[in-house]
Amino acid sequence: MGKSEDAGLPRPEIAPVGDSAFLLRFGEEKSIKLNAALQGLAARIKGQEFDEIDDVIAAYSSLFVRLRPGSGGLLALAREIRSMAEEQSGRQHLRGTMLRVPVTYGGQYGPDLPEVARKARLSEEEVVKLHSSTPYYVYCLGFAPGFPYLGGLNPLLYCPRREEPRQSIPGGSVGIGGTQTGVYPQPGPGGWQLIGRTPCRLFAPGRRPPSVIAPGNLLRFAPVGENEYRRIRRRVGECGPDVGFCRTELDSSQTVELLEQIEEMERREGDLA
Amino acid sequence: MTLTVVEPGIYTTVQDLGRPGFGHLGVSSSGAMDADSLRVANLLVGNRPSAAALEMTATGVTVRASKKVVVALVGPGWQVHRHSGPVASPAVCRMETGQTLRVGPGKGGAFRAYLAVRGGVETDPVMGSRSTDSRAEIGGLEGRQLVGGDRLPSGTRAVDGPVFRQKAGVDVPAQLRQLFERSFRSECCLRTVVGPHGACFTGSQKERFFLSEWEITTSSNRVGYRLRGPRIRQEADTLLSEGVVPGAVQVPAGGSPIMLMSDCQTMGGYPVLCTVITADLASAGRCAPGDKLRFTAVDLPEAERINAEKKAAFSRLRSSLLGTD
Repeated sequence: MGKSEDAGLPRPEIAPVGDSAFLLRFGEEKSIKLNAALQGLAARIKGQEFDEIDDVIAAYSSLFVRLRPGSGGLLALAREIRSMAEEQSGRQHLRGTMLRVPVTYGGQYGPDLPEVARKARLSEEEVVKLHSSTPYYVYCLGFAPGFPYLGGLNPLLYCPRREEPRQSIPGGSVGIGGTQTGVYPQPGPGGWQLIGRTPCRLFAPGRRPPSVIAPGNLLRFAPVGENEYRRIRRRVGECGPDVGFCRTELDSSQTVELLEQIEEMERREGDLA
Repeated sequence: MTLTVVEPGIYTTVQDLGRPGFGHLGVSSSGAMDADSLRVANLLVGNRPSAAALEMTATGVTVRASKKVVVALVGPGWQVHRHSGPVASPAVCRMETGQTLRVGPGKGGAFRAYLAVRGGVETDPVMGSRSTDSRAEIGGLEGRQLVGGDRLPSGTRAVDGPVFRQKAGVDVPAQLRQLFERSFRSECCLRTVVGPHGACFTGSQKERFFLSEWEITTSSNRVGYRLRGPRIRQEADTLLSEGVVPGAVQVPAGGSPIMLMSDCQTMGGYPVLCTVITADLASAGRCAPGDKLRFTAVDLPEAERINAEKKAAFSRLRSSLLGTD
């Protein structure tokens, strides 16, 4: 990353969402650098424990703030948060956390792997290799509890969503939908092409925090065989949801290096578009 | 256990005022679709406004008390069915051990109503709330709608005051009518603030939206209402997903608006033409599939003024119910 991150965030536009929330919009483009600064800002806002604020969601290039019902004073609060944004430099959040999530690819765990390979004109092994050899960045969580919107999918693996979404897919399913990849922490309906499944329980309402994956994390998928899948599954059953994955705190140079790799992948996406 | 569900109705769930604070993890805020009625029901049995109660949909429930208990039914046009005849909402009932109670909507009643129990329904809270999230299947009783035979515990922690007793000179139904003034179904008009994607719609498309009548279709639920009416064109390329709230009226490329409700997802990528103000969300929650809606635009200061007024009306109601004024 260059020096531009020290320049802080661009001045955002304030957009009220009814009378109960507002968005600060920092641009129209998704950018990891911007998102990382927004995650830092979201953490600072939460740290200040504003009485009027219920929720803060840093998405691709916007910050969403939801007010406690009936608190009023939306614009004044939006201006206060905007002035906090002005003090936010891009550098603060650059010590990343890497999550390594085991995945069993193909077979019953990833029924769409052959389809994804066929569309990409690659072998199934090559798809697995490309999917599991590069790091991803968690822009935000949404759609369902703990569902990560990941940046950094190799453009060779872009694959349209299924024509017929599945009514129910197993929790832990790893899929590709268009230009994105992600993991469904819980069972539910879904239209993505499923290429594998993790034995980990990435979302458990009783855990604190309930989600293993947090916005701003880095993530890698690590291929494991069926026996290992079953072994981890058993351990999760015995020891609870805190086992099976691996979390590493990275120093700033490691973080920057990985973010650059992911940004490089995202630029390739831009070139294709 | 305090109440046993004898007849669950077609869709009854445990709801409180919702599960805020986890939006960044993709967890919906959920909570009562008609928070006004829930608050009043809690007030009548002497609970905190945030206590959990039963949210009934289209049809009522029959419950049996396994100990002496006080319950309240609140939902415009709903009734408690007694041997002696129906008693209209708002109704407070003292139940003896073993006694059953049947409640349901009268003709033209609201689509949803609330049965509160003194002490609150005390299922295990999940992430700080007992609300059932129909999409994520968490909260309430095992994350699901109630079925016959379910047993519901109640507690004491939600108790905040005495049970309401009718006093001379306090016309509760009249006060509630005032509070729920805008609710009533056939002419429900919801006030909105334009945006946050107002710029994705031309003036004439916005005009068309605000001048049209919208029917709530049958594929509507706690997640959102699909609206039938003229097609609304939007001029969005691809929007990056950002945070959304219940009340947001999204317009997908097909042109049929969807109004998000309590269990909506936390982020959305469709342009949002306008957002229903907080004070009118409960009115929307009382509407049924087939009902017609209209929308009107107010500015943000007006929305905040209406909210403050409503808050004041609630405290007036509270003090007159508790006899402290």
